[in-house]
Amino acid sequence: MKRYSLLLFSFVIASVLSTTAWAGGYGHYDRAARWHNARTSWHGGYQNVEWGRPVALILPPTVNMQTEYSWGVGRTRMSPINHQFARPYPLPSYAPTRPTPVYPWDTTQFGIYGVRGPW
Amino acid sequence: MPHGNWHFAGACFFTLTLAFAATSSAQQIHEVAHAADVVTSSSCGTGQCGTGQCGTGQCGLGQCGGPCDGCRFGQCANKRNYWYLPYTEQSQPDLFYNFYVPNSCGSPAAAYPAPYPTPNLVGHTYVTYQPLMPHEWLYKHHRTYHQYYNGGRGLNRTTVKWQGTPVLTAVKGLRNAIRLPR
Repeated sequence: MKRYSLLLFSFVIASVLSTTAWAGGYGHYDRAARWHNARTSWHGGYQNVEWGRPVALILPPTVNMQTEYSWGVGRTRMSPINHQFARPYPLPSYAPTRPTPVYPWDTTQFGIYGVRGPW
Repeated sequence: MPHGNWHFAGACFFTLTLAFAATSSAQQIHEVAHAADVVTSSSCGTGQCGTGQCGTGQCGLGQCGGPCDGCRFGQCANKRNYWYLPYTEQSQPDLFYNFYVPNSCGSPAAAYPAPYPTPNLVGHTYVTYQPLMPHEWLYKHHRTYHQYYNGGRGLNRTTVKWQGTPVLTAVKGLRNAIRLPR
């Protein structure tokens, strides 16, 4: 009985610790974020119609994946959230984007793209 | 040396615990705009600067590394030096600093105000205490801020924890441990 109690206590402690994150950024996804921040754009080819530009949806930095939906069978995708907000001031630039189609067929066409918040 | 502790219960079941060592009157508050650290012209250790490319060191309006690896207006993209590190510049941030996601062959974006800067007539909300910035409330973590004063002979350390209530955290942890992935 004592052994099971100790096991249960360890399980509870491990569960609590697994839900706690430390400010840092040295995991696999954080290395990927640095790579993608430097080499790929955070937004796709569509803009939000209310702003006329792509909108960055700030997500917790602990999230990893996102689901994108589209019409048709087998079109739902799970993709990693690579980009993350950071300190350096970026180069001012402008990339042409298209507005949301009248009849959108993919959630990425709404011009809202998830970006993880800073650590 | 005075000590103090507060427990602040947020509306989102977060508890902000502050433990600070001392209050410095010599803290310099830099009221700067978002683009305060913009360096328009600087020297480069290696490679070309200005509008060219440079591999390491400081750069102006040029690029660092690959063609899509935009120069960070002052510093090349050393990937680790702009993430949070204790006892570095990241742990003693300016009061009105901002976060950006690089352009990298696209358009850049700033975290504050989201999603884009508003006209002057709209007004602006300034968060004058870094632990209360909204992005810090997105996840459970802890962080140590530090500020030097008196010419580097004094050091303030402020440890902040953003965490949930213990019971709720335990219940959520158990649920996440046994639930099926979806």
